[in-house]
Amino acid sequence: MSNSVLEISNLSVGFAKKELFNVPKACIKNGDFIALLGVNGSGKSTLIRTILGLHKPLSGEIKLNAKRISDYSILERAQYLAAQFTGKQGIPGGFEVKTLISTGRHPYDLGFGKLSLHDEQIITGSAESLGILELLDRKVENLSDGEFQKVMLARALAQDTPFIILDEPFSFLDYPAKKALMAQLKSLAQSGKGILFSTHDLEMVVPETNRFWIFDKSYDKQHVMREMDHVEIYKTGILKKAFNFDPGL
Amino acid sequence: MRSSRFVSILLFCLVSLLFVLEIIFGSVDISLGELKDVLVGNQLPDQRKFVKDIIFESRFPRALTALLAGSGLALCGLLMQSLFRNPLAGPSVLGISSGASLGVSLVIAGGIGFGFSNGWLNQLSISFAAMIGAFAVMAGIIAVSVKLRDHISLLIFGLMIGYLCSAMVTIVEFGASKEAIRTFVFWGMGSFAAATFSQILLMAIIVIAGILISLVLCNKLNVMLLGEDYAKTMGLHFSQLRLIILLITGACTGIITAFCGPIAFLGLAVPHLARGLVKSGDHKLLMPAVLLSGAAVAMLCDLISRLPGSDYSLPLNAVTSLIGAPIVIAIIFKNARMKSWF
Repeated sequence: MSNSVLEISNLSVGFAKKELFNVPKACIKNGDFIALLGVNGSGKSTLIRTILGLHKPLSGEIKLNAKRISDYSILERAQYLAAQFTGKQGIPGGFEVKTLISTGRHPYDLGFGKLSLHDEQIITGSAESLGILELLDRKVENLSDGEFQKVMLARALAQDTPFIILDEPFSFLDYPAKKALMAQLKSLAQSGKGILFSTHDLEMVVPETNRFWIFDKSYDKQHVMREMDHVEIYKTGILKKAFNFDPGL
Repeated sequence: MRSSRFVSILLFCLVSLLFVLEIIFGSVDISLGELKDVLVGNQLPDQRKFVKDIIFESRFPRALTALLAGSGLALCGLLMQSLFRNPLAGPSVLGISSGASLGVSLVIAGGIGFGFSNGWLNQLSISFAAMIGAFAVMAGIIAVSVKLRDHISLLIFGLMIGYLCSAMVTIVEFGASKEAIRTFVFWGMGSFAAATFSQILLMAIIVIAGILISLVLCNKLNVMLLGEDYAKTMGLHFSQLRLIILLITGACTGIITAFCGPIAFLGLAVPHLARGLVKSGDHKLLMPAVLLSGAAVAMLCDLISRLPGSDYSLPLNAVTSLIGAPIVIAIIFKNARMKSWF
């Protein structure tokens, strides 16, 4: 995994020329573990979609290794950024878990035939690192929500990207499953992946994470996303202001 | 994995068996011995000489037509179900066949009027018109599918498009000659018997091309099934794949409809049958089973429609509807469960 940097500067995002929010400056590197926080409707999903290239920004730049993200081909981009969206919605049943994970190899598999030995190893390795080897032959529709999130994460791992970006990965999970997924995401970051995830679960996230991207309306009335660490969070009292949440001391 | 190969081998044997049955059963029964004699070139007794003509002029082309049309329509059904992620998608229910029919009716009504009723020019213009009609409806359905995410809504929209096309067909027929109406009514009942050698060749080229391209696309179809957002983040050129599917389904449905009539339900029902057999949604396993069971179901329906042992025959569409409609009803009842499949 090479050292990659994703930098956002002066990004303005919205729909039909109307700005929803802007991002003055933010960046993700290998090994970063960043929580994206904001109230409902603040634009977390839209920011994620913008970073992934699924939504066009109004203006500003997202650069991956100093090159505009829009200048990458869709295939190249898929070799840098893997995504995970919320929930089981629209994911087909009938797939074996292994087939689902193997779709993560698509950016590398330009052919049409069987998986190479290398691909097989990566798929098994991804499943193993998340402790779901025994699920490989199961059907997707028979998985619990927690198992399903792990399978989709294994698929993102199989995509072998420096960054994984997750939209609300903890929704629909019960508390133990949330804790387990959190721990796994954290250890992935420690192993060198850059991880950005959006969430509502402040209680769980604030103690576990050191960097935050926070949507904040309290600043000069504009809807802005800012990057902060723990110290700044406490100093500005932003969680109290934005979420009415007291992180304690 | 092993079981899906087993299913494919079994289906292949079934297709071969049905192919032979297609040749020996009919208003004149042919014995296996006679078939063998004809194939190896032995002389038949004088009073059975006509058997050779029946085999080559009628039965063999008919079996081949059923095989091609069955595989082709089943392929279109699978591609459409995967593209729309909708278990109720298929060329006949979503109005693709009706679009093709409209194209054909315009050419038949106009063509016979203009006096080029037979020959290559007419064949080509009919196929071309059918494909244009199929493309147009398919493109419309794709455009609308972005708004109508609900399975049943898309189905109803397709049915309405079908009605609209049928109404226009009726209007076209109204002004057509008696001869054209007769041709059109028989054509509308569906049949694998009418295709000529040149038509079969044209159909074979298009259907086989569609099959080969689809086989190459299996991995991409799997990725597509995760939905547009996931597919794009995994490097899939979604709109490009959608266009390829539009072209394959339009061309195959168009050409098959042009020469066999609008065949009801086959394209929708067969992929479900195949899913039940291979018990997987993986296109790499599903595709061969869909192609083979499409051929098998088409030939079986054709055999039933001939009512072997009698002098009568049923319209092909009556048979495919008798088999297909209950499958659609079953899917609607099971829809809660099917949602987890798409």
